[in-house]
Amino acid sequence: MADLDRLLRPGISHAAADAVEPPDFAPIERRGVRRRRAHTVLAAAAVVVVLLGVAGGVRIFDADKSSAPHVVDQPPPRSLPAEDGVVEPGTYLVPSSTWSTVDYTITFPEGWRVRDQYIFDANSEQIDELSIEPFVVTKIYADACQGERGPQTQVGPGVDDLVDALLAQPGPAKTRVETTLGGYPATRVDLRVPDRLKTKNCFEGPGTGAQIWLNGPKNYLVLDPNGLLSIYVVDVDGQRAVFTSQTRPAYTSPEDRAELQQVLDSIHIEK
Amino acid sequence: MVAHPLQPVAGQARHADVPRVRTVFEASYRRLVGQLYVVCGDLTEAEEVVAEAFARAVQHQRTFERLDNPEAWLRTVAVNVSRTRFRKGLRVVHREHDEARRPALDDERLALMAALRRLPTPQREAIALFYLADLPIHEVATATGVTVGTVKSRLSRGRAALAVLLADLPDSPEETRRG
Repeated sequence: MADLDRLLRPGISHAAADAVEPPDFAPIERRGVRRRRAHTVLAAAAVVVVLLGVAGGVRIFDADKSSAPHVVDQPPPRSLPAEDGVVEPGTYLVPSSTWSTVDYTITFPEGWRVRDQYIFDANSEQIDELSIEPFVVTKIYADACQGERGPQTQVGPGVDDLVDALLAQPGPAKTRVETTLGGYPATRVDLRVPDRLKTKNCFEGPGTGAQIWLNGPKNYLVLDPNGLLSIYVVDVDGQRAVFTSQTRPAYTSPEDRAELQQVLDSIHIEK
Repeated sequence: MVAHPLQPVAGQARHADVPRVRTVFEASYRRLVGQLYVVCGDLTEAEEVVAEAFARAVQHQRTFERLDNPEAWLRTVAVNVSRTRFRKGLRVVHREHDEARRPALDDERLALMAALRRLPTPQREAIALFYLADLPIHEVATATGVTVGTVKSRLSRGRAALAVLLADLPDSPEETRRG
């Protein structure tokens, strides 16, 4: 048997460090500067909007009360940017894709970003603090604790097929809530990692949460050990659409969670 | 050879016109890639997550300028980025297309890296950062976002698991033992 003390030395990281040459810093710097500028522009835009709103309010206050109400034209929804990064506040049209069975619009306040044109989160360094993702689901893990160490179960195409499968999946603690999303009836399944599971040796080890499904290389849903995962299974005239939101209640403020709900509530399914 | 053990970058003298992040990049990039390699098990992946950490440092330049230990900040961000990419399955692409790109390691260490990949993520991160990247235990705790006690527990479990996984590897008694 190998001597672990002898093997577990820093030689490997030194060898890896020796095997690389630092790349040109300029592209990395440009990436960071571009994101910073986007933030600055968004902040300035927010200030302008507030000032215009205040000015408009004063004008309305001063105006003749008999004048007709002012109608503000809503700008048409935009397309999501091709590159990952912070999105300008506003409404975006997201077409159906590998990740979503439906077209929908979604409205972001300041500070949200998009990754891979389908993952939306608040611009935080911590993963899964506030995030929204659509999914196309055809199977889920038979046991969320065992995850990829065990088999996956095929799920039928209906809303109830997925809801029933999630409620039957061993592992997370679940709550079922009837609600709406995007203008359609939906069933929301809230998932948490129970304390007993936090200490159990699941596939990824203690403290690492539960694996809900894997439907492709990037179509991978994990319940954070400290997270609250809400899976919205939406009935779009018989067609199933799935959206998820995840947050860490212990690490986010009530205002943050209200903002997450605001973004969820902004979703409008276009079919 | 990259300078080791870790030298604090915060106190280093630098030209007033050069942003700190560039100074840290020049001093720490290779060391961070080495540390993230043992976490990720993939050199290209390690380079990408470290580059992403530096991009975020540029993005948050004002914060970065005030950090006591910018390298620890970068390492924490890089570990988080690595976890996110692992969850999203982005790392698989590299394994399939960049199989040949590895540091020069002997068979024993290649076997160790293979065994590490089979450990649960928290144990792998703890073992990699403490033993293979030679970080103090409190820096491992910072990088992985857990307490020192949790790191110790993961190290203990990880060592036990590695001992089983490497049970068939022949011993080399002529080598000196650590510490």
